Amino acid sequence: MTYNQTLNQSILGDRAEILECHRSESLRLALRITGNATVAEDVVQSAFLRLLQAPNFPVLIPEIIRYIRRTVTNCSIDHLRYQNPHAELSENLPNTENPQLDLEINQALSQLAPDHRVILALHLGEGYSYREIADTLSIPMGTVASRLNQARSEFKKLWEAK
Amino acid sequence: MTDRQLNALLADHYDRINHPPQPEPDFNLIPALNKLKSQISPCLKPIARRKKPEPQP
Repeated sequence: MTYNQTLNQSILGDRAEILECHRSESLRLALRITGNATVAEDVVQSAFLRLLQAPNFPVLIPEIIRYIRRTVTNCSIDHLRYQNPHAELSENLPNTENPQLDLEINQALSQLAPDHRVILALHLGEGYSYREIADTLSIPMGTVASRLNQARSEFKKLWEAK
Repeated sequence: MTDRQLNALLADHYDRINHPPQPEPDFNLIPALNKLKSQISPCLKPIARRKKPEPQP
């Protein structure tokens, strides 16, 4: 084995360990966005594969955390956009204290546009500030505010109509 | 439904749905960190000069 191959293996090994430390947080984020535990596991797996192969993986811890969140969020959005979100409605939620209510909320959320669903999960689920959301989604802060308002009113309409 | 009620409804929902927790990694056992520590620690100590061996008679 050449020196470069050994070095590459060592870097990939370290990166895999760093990612493992963020698996729990990533699963929670993907679950809140997709509303499905099995899908969340698939999303995190493909996000981690993407991160392992990323040529410009950051070096500093805060940047690593941001990079992981951004990739998991993007993979979740990809899933919502391209994997027919209405096909696998919300039966696959983890057990909660109020399963009926959570199922109804999840069903309403699944009818939102992916961009709206994501922004609600990031702001109200993960507690991200507007700046953090803007950074994660690579959009201006003004867009975050307007998208959040649209998402709220879209959800409100669906919730009140049910 | 007011915005505040909607926020509370969704925030509670997101709090309730959580992935089953994974076992927390033991940071002391992560080889990457240990390797980093071993790389840094020599820089923190002054380099001890090796004593020249006494010439053998």
